[in-house]
Amino acid sequence: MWKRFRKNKLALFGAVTVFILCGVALFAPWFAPHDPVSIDVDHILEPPSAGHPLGTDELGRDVLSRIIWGARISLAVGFVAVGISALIGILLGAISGYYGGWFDTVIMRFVDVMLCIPTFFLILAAIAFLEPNIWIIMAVIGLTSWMGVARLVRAEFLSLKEREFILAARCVGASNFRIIFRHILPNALSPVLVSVVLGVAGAILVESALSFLGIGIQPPTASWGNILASGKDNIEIAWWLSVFPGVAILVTVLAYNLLGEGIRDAIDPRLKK
Amino acid sequence: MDLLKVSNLSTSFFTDAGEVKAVRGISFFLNEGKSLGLVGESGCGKSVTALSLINLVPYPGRIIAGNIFYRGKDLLQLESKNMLDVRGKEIAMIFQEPLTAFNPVFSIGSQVQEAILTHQKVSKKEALNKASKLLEDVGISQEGVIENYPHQLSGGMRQRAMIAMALSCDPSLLIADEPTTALDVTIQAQVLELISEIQKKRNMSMILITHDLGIVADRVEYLAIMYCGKIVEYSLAKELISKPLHPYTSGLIDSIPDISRREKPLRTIKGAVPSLLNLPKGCSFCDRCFMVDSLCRLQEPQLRDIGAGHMVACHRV
Repeated sequence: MWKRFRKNKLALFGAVTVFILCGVALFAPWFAPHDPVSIDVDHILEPPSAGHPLGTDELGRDVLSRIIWGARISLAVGFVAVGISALIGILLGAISGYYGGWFDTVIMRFVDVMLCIPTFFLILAAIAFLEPNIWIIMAVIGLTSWMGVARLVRAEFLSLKEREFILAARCVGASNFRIIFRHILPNALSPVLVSVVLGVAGAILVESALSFLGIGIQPPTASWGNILASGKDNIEIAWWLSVFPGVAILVTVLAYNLLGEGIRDAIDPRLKK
Repeated sequence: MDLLKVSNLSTSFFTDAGEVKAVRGISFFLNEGKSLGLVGESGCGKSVTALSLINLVPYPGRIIAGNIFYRGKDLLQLESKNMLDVRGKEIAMIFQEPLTAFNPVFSIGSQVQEAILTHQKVSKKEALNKASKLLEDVGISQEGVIENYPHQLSGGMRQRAMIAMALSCDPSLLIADEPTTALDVTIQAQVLELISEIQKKRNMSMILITHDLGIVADRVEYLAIMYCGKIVEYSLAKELISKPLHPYTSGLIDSIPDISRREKPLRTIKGAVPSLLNLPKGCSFCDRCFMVDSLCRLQEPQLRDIGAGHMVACHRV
């Protein structure tokens, strides 16, 4: 599997980029040349220079440092939100797929209902009532994006529970709990892995959009979305304020998507050439 | 003392097409340390009987009547939680196709280890040691096999590992459901030899299910012949082979291929098994029987003792 993954140049590019991004986010204080929130009124809206490689914003803050610290926010939101959605999705999907019956019907109809509501507007509505801080945003994104995972896991469980090794596990006296989590779940995880990696990209995009609209991460905390928002106000005089965070979002989302698709292709034996 | 006493066990599958009576009131008993061969053709209810014994009949099947007494306790009355302790620990099962009976994502060693941990309070390390000891007992002693995944082993090795797993908690009763059907003939003999050897050494009771009368006849003490969900003949194995009474049994024995008469076509039993959805009124074998008479078509024969524990369900005997 690793061999097939390695042959896929784009997927490899995605993996390396994701790895670098995670490193940058983790060690933001060491990579950032300046304090991301220190205001310097003498150097507002300066174009890229040696001192400020990506220029400064309308308060004289270093854009490179803000993007680096913003990576932290974006990745954290991505991981935590997807973690929440994967947890809910796996649990509900596993239980409804394994037990079936009325519980399955209720959960799957609930999934259908959730899928009918445009997620972004649901998030907007939720944020309107709640104070927009990073934890709320993570939770809201997570709670509105678990349906795909639940369906995937349920489908895997439906077919896996009929396999003979599950009967064999019952024959050695394994309980339902053990069968679900020890025997079926590990077999059902590969499609979930793909959906989770792609989900991180989606969550990062949603967070950026929310911050861009001013209801996500609040300044002075740096996030790619709110740097873009200030870029929009100054787009005629400071192109660097819009371009660089935009590129950061693009590269990150692209990298996650390439990685996710690479994993999918590597797992799926039918794509073997 | 009886280890297992099954009386009037009936299991049906409630399908859209109607009730499929897979097992129709079978009774037998098995003493400690003894072995029973359950023989019959495909679809006669052998495997459903086995699954009924551990109360794991798959949906839409259900045990509709009967009792299964194991050491005096009725297994069908046990709560599902207590049944978990019976499965694997008291009654273990070996399946037909060992590749599908192993979980593909865990190594052989860890699966045997887990079977041990399910029922015994030992540390993980002790369980792993015990697992490798068990694998050695069944003839897997090569280094590293314990870390192999099921698909990396050969069919024979996998079936040996399956046996090791079944033995992991010292069960008193081993149910082997066509343990050699998926293996080639040379390995088949080895695995059967291994199973009977272990059964004798550990003084376990065993139910060996097969469609091949030839391979069980000299490996079990008792034989039960099943046809259409019923036991039609039951006796000591030697007696049953040398003096088959039920026409179906003699048909089965006659249809064992014999290499010395290779010029002639293989003997078969004429006709086909009736549908379990729509059984004939009388004896279910009547349409294929060469000594059928009017009574056979009217009334279903009951299993009766005709002396020395030899039981047969046939009007004409």
